[in-house]
Amino acid sequence: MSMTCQQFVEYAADLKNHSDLIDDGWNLCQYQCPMNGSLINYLVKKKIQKKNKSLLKSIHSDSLMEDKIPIVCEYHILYNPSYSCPDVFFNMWYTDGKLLSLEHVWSLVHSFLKQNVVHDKWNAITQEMHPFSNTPFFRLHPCKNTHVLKMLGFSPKNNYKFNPLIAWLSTISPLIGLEMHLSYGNKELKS
Amino acid sequence: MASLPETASINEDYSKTSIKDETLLRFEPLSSCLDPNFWFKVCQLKLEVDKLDEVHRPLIGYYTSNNNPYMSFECSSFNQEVNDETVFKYIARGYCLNKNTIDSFKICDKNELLKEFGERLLDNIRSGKAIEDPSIIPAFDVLMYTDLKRYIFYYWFAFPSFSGPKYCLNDVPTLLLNTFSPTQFDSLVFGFKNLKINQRGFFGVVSTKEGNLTVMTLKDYIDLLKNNMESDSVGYLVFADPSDLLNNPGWPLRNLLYLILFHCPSIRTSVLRVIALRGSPTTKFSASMLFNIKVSSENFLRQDTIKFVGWEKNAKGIFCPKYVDLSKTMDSTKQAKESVDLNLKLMKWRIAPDLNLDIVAQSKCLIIGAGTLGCCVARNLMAWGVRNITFIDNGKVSYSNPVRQSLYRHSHCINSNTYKAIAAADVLREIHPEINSTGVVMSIPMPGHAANIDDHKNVDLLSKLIEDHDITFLLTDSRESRWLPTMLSTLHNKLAITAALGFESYLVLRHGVKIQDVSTGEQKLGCYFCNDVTAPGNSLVDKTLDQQCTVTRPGVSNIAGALAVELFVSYVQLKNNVLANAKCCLGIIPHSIRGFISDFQQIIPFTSSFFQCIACSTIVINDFLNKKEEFLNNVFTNPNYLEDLTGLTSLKNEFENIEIFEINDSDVEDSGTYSKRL
Ligand SMILES: [Zn+2]
Repeated sequence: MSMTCQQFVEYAADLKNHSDLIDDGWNLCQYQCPMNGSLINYLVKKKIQKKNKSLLKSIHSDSLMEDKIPIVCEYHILYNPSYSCPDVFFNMWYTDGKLLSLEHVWSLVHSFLKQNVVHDKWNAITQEMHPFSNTPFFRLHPCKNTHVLKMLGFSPKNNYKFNPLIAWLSTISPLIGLEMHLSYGNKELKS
Repeated sequence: MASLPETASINEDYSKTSIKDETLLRFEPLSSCLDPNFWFKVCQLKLEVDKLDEVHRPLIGYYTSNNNPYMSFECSSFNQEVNDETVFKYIARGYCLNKNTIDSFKICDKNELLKEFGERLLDNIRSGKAIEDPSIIPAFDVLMYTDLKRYIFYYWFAFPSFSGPKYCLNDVPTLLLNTFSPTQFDSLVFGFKNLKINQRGFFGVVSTKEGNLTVMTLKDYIDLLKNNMESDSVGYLVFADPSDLLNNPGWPLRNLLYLILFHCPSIRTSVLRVIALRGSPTTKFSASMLFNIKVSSENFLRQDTIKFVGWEKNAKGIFCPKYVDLSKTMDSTKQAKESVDLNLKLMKWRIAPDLNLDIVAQSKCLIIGAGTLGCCVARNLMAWGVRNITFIDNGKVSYSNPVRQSLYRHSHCINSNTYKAIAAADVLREIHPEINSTGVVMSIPMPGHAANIDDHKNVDLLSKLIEDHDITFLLTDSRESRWLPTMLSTLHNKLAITAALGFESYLVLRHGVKIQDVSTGEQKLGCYFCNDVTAPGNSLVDKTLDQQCTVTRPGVSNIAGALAVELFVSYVQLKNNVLANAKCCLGIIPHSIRGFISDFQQIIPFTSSFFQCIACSTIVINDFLNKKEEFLNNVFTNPNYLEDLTGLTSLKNEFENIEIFEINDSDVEDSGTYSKRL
């Protein structure tokens, strides 16, 4: 079940429009590919979230005062041409610039997961270099993304009332610690 | 517009009721928020540009009006120009001072420094520079020391401001939605978007006669205030508010108020109407608040009474520098280690939660023979996170090697100068700097080969090496060279894994460790020689079987090498007494694996040890222990000594007619009954 790049860009713009309405902080960015100069569109959201310190099992050195500590979460949604599906990269760090380890990301992420969500199937977070910047990012393996799109019944030929990108993102958002406003679910795809 | 006269009436009240029950205005301080890439840029600039200069380097900070009392810094913070992004944020200009030593960072007078920062801000206010470019109003400075070798950073941000005067709220702050009509919000957003990015943090709005709003730059607004002769203030002062507290404005307002009072001192007797811009233009700043503010103390303009505040508190709420260790992300060696470990951990988390990776990582591995198999085994060990690898080999890299032996390159062969053991150890470190690899150039003493001068010395060295390692991989290409390591690993009760190759077949076998099977009473599993009743003679002279190693199908060695490592990893998952086909978290642990590429088959037969084995039987071990020198002399010079010792000579006569090859099809057919036959 694949999504074309053009569809991705349309759905991304639609997502951004809704984000603007509720101040959710998604931005559409462009990256110029150094190989052929083509422009690549992707969604970015950067947010400082206060996270419960107890979730970060090992205590970050100098944060004893408050129960909640600010964590910067950055999400990039790219289009993956090999898998023909959206591709999410994310990173989390403390306000001093220190990246969270995958263990810590997991401990945060799991707090969002309900007990009945089977997570083993989804154990697909890895760390790799971001394709645009040479910094390590966490990534949900894209093969999972095609799987989600398939489960959601997405096919590029069908016309849908909902935005498949939003549907996909809401499905995977608990796994990457992303909070999604409920209003995303109520909106219909503008055509 | 109905509310405007109301504000005016409150203003009147104020003049009547004087300073009764006033609420002191408290500003929510800003905190610093750094991107990982900020530190990369800091390092780069210190190494390549500033070097030993302690310069005040201009820096740009970013903040938002979305409930975020943070000023963020990233690598683009060091750019002098802000590329007018569509991303919506406000900019602040300040400086970064990078000290050369930890001592100069620690001992510099922090009060003096803050005064220096504050006075620069004051100069900018006095000169009107801050009116022209309001992005210097939310001033900041960062003092830092960067340990570039260890990637440790000490830093302390200051958001300098004036300790006085005191301000108080004239009434309870209200949502701007209660004052402005939707049309007025539209005008606000429209005007805002037309402002340049450095003007967006601080500006003014005034109402037109038609009841609409006009947005103007701070400079225009101040000019308007200056020319205003009435006691009431004009329009609204607007600032982008990072505060996340409903009734407290953010830190940037503090400097703005000082600037206004400095340039329009007459304002101090009236109520300032300040709009705290909250939210974003897309939601028309609908969360914005209206603060009616008045000055509660007077003598703020006297130069000698000016005191500065603004050092950032750390996470514990104490005024002191912050410290961050970024070696895990910035030190390439550590980063490589982290990534390798992470990959392995992922396997553990996802597939085999009981997998003991530490025991694999901690194992000291001895690789005897740094050829095709040795290279392959070393690479697979590294992939499993093994840290300690020692190679033994006496050969040099030759031109035919690099294409098959994955650790070598053409350059190793030139002038035939590089020993394999040394080259292999070097290349391992090149591949992964965290590897502790050593190369030992040594020839393995072999039975039946006229004794070498070094042989006795080498026996001791090899014995020591086997004793000091947890596992020995026996990967040489002749039967003779496997004899001594086999005997020594049995002697030291250490795990050994032998891999041997035929043209299109392979054998991987574990031995060395005593295994007690309660049911059968067997002592240990068979070694390479247990299955073979021919004692190693000088096969290098008249036999070519093992030399076939160099004419094997290339894939064979990769398969066998990989299997040897997988067998080892499975083996160490269990503590001891690992019987043939015992089960661990990764599956079974066979005693031996035999494969045949011609028909792509593989079997896992097991054999117990042979009491007359010329390498691992008690009689041989005891002879070595009791009269080492004599025993070794006999072994090295007399090709039949071992067979005579173990009584094999007589046995052999009985089996005269059975042809035995190292690996051949007859072994396979027999494999089911193999142990019975012996
Ligand atoms: Zn044996």
